[in-house]
Amino acid sequence: MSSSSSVSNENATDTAIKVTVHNRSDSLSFDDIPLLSGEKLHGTAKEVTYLCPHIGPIKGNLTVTNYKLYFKGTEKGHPFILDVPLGVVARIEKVGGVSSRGENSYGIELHCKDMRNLRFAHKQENHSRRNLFEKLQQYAFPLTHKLPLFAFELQEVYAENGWSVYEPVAELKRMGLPTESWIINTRINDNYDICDTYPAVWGVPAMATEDDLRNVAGFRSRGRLPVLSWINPETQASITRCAQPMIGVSGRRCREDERYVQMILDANAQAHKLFILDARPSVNAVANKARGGGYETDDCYPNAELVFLDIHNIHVMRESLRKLKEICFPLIDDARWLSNLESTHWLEHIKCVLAGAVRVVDKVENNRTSVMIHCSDGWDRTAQLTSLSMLMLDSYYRTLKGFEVLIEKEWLSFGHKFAQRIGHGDDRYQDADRSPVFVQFIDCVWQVMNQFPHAFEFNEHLLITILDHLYSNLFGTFFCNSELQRVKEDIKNRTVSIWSFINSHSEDFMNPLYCAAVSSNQVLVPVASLRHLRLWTSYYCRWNPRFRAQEPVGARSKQLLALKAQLQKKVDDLRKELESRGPRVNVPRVSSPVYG
Amino acid sequence: MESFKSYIIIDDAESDVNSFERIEDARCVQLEPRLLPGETVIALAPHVLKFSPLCERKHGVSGDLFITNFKISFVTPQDAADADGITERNQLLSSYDICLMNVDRIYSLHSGGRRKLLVPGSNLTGAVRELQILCKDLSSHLFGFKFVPNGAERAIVNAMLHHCYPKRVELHFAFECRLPATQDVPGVSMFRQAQDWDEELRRCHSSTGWRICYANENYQVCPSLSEVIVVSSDLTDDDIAKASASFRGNRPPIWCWGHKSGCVIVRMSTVSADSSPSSNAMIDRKQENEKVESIMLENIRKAHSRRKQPLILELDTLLPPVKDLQNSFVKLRDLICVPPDSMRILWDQDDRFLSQLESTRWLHMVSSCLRLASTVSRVIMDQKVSVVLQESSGRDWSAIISSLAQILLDSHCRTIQGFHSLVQKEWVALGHSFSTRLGRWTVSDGEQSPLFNLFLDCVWQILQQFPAQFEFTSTYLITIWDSMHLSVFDTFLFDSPRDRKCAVLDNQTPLTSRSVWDWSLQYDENEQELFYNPLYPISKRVVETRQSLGLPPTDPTPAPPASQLTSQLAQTLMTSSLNLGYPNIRTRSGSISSLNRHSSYLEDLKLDGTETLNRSWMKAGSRSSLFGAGWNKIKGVAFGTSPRPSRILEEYEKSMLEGEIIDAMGTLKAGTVSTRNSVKDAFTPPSITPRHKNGGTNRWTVCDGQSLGQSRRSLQQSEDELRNVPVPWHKIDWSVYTVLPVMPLVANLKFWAQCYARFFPVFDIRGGGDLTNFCQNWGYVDELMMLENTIASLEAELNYYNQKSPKSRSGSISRRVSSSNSSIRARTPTPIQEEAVDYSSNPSLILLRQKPLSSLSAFYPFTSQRVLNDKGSHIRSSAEFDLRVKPEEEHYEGDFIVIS
Repeated sequence: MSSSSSVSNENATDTAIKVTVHNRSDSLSFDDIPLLSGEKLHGTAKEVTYLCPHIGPIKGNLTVTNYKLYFKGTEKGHPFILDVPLGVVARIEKVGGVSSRGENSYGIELHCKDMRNLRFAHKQENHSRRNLFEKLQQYAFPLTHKLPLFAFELQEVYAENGWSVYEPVAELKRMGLPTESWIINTRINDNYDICDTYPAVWGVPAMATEDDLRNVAGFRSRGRLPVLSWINPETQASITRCAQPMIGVSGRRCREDERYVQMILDANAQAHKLFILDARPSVNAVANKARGGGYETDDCYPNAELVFLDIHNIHVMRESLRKLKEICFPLIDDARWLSNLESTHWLEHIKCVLAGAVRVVDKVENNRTSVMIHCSDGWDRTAQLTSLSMLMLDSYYRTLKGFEVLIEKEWLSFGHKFAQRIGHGDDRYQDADRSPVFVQFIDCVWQVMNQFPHAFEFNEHLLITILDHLYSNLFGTFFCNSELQRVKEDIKNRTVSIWSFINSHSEDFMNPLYCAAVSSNQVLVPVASLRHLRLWTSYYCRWNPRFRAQEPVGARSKQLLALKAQLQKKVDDLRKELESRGPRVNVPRVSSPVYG
Repeated sequence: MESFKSYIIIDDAESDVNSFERIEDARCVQLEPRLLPGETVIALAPHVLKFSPLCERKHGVSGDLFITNFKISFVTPQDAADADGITERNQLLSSYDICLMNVDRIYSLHSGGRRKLLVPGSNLTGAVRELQILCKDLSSHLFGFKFVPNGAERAIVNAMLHHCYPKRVELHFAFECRLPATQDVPGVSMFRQAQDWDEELRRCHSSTGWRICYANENYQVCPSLSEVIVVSSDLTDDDIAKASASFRGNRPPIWCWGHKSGCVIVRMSTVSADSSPSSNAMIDRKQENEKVESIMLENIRKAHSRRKQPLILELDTLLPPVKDLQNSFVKLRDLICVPPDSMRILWDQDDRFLSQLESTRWLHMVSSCLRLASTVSRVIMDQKVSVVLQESSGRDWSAIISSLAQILLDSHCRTIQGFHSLVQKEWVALGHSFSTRLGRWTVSDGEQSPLFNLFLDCVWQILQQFPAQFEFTSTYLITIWDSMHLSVFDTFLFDSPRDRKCAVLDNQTPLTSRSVWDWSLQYDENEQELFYNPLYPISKRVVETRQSLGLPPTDPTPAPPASQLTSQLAQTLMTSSLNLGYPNIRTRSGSISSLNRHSSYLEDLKLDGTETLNRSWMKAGSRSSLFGAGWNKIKGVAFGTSPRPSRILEEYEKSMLEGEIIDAMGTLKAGTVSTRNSVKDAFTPPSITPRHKNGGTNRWTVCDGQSLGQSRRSLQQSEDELRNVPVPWHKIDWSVYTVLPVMPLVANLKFWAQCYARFFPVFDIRGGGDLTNFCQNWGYVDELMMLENTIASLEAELNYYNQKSPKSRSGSISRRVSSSNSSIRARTPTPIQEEAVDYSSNPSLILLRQKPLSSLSAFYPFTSQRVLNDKGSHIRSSAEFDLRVKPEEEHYEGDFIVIS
């Protein structure tokens, strides 16, 4: 299972992880198709041509399993191999019809979520297309066809159990809770009654009664009341997240909500003001009043300062990524590359999100002020801002384990609607709820990583792997829209967590440049300027051989570490050998040239 | 540095004066600039304000402004107080100094955002309240004269207008400076003496076919070339002298570099000819010149070991005019160095940065150069054909392309000494007109063009793509960038070697020669450590070990372009020589079959209206005369009309790319000596996959044509030996290249923020950036070297025990390997017994353990978190280097986009 990397050449091992292959005894099986346990062959087509945009047409055989599409060139020697999890497919189209003439004009085109399209040409006389098309439809969109997602069938066993990575209570305790002003409440949302998109465990102000919480939830969109995301144990400056207040055109007020906000402010003795960062552009926030939403006003929340961060909504982001795909795949227009890139606005959006997070960091770290973050519903932009700012503030989240906790906590447990945003196993590719919000977050992490190469315990490969399995349907981690749904579906018991896989192979995801001594306690303040932000070509343009890094930095530093270990061992061995010869007498030391 | 950030609010005159006076009171000493020997103060203005960038002229520093014959010096009371304690980072310039030679434009700022360019040499009559100075190194400075005593500002501005723009080169400070002359830097060839050229010839395996020529003694043949040149050995000095008259600027074809295979790079100017010959005599003359050109080219062919015809690249058509480059540079400067006053506008414009950067076309220039250089390197490596770079002047683009190609091809040029020598050879000795191109004197205004800056950017881009292949760091490149405009040195001062020699020999004001390559004049040793790439010793060690064991390099992109264009080129070259009456030539039809795959694009080329390969080939076929246009020249579409330099090159590149992929799937899979898995695979014999179905040469080129059989044999031979090598440097997965496969697309390039954006603290990555990489790698490498030494000494100890049954062999090898230590810059010795400390648990220990590192820690104090500064690049300005305490709210707020 290479993480959906296409060309099986040595260069691509960067993105390819090997998984032991168990099941080879399937009746349909061709010897040479690597299958995961639980994976079954469902169809195959011979004499298919893969139309590679970079190399040109390649003849071979195409196989469909319930997990992936596997193409192998028929060329002798070292055939071309394409191994793509069907989960990345967004849409399947037939190209050409009965009347199509000309070579390679009749076939299937797959539009993928990971920035590429795959085109296969069939020979009309083989009549192979129809069957294959149906199989692809079924297994690329299992939910539409009343089939289970592949993660429910996967039988692989991993050494680590990724489901136990995140313990909500332990995580809150790590931040010093409970304190005088903050408590851990595990009871009130036990059955997800108050808020069905929130986790069961909350960190809330100690002063707030359960009635308060209920009332506040009633005033916030979808019941998503302000709950603690992060707190600095020393300064008590906190980051809380919530949804917009339901103020509406009439200017409704909620005394409990106002008091609750005051409690959050009071919990931090050093500050006399609470910053409320509304991620939306102010125009959108105003427009939301018509739909019953709105934002905190000065007269109702006198001790709060509201700032809009101008981050656009999911539809804008989706459109931006679509444009980015257009300029990145299959070919790029080099002469107008920069202006084309600008016209996608992708980096501009990235910059906006980063700048917002930097703002949070500035308030919390430098002003020691508590910050409350929301957008409309508090599950897209809010998740981006809280998780990014936490990543910059707290070095724990920059370790492998901590990053997993961060995603589990801020994204999964607080109800980022992964199922809707990604559309696992669903064929409605035009669904307006789809959006690359999480991809954007990972991109932002990459940008920070780029500016602070020593500050992260994990490497770029981890980010790419997470994004690959966001779509692959191999692991259950990103299924469903909320903790409630995941509990109902019993995801934890029926599927494997992506962290099981990653933690079992953690050495592949380690950053050799990581410098824990420096990074701990360091607050990262990345420069959110287009002078420093770059397009993440090793993800977005990775199918294009012109972007293949000649000298992957990680690999090199990894070599240094490996070599160091070898040398150390050699030194130890030599020492032992020397000691075994008895006590060190006065041996005239042969001076090494350096010291000579 | 907080203390000298005196907050001066211009709008509020009352409080202003007060705060200013307070500073005044604190002053206990008379402010004085640091003067170099020979430097004198010309004018001064007290109480000048220097504004911080992007603060809407709201805050800055107060001090005295001096003009000397060397620099514009701004001295603050703080500087004066520190004078004894802190030594300046740059020993020539203090943090606020601007060398006069660096000044490009001076503007007087008026209310309402208007600014007026002050004409060099003019006399100012009106009042100046604020002054903006734009520099050639892309920095800009803003001074306010509000508190300057009446008239003093006019005097100082007039002094600037006169002394920043000398009318002759001889008026620069280099002639007055009394600093001692620099010694020859060891290992750096200055290419002034025959000996240097001779060594270079031998180093480049070009001694056969090429020879040293003294025809240009006393510059009698060509004033823009060095006295010693290298020419084809079949030509006599007389031939050269005669032939040179046929070329522009009297520059005959000059050998620059040679490859083992016998291929060379030759730089040549075009034949001198009027564009529209009017009289018969002139037409005759033209024909005569062309004939001479052909003879010279023929001699280049003969000098080739296999008498192959050279490939001629006509740079005039492949690259834009140098004026366009200057325009591009000016746009780049306007974009990055004169951002709006206010932070808010800057951030608003930041979103448009990419398209603005594109409209400067600077990266396109870089891309074109890299593309051509890559072509040159490929043609030489894969086709074994010599390359002639032809350019009208022969002193501008050809210098860039030639030196870039050498950087790609020749690992020596990627060392610091090699790079110095390269610049000395290609730029200084072969007469790049620095003085004219960099605007050293007023008359040269229209001819300015920052070719050398472009070159540095190109090198930086290659460095970015191959970070372990260079001995130097980007800090080093930026230091060169800054040193270009220091008038203490003469390296980048003159138009030609002749001008320099005249200046040195001048009776009245002889020039004391000071070379920029003697870095000790500017930086002390600890600071020079920043120039050295920590990863390079590893690369070097891997290469040396592999070589000593007879292993081939681990070239990750083996021999791309086998097919298509290059083979086509080669065929064409061979075929066209048919008509020149050479033996051993294939027939025409034979080559056509090889063209079939790309016939369609050749059609395209015709449609483009360019002189295609096809056509020149046809021409050659139909020509009866012995000499003429039978030479294959690659021309491009005029640069202005199409952004693509040449379809041919593009296709060529494509073919390279395809080669790469198939290789990746084919050869690498086959278990050849590849980068990955090299530990495992290095011992399996590489299999050879035929390049073409219809035959052809091997796709795989191992180490300069070393045959696979040989390397395989040597692999087997050395296997025993390998087991005994103490440090398995050859086994690590480390790319070692014969030629750097640079990716030249604009999309592959980066904006050199480290150089261009360094003057604005808002763009600093505090506590991050490349320098943390640098430090970390340094730590690793140091540790490795230490372990290696420990192993060597332990083994020696063991050997001592084992003398009765000596493992002498292992010992000798260990010594051999570790002896390369000394060649890799001996580091400060560490007692071997010290290694018991577990460094891995505490990396800061690593960094502080050794002396070079602890001295570095002054630059990036790893121990005190949050205060790191990204700007090792800008060594010159000490302010930016200082430990920054996390900025206070008021400053900090400014760094953010204020959204309302």
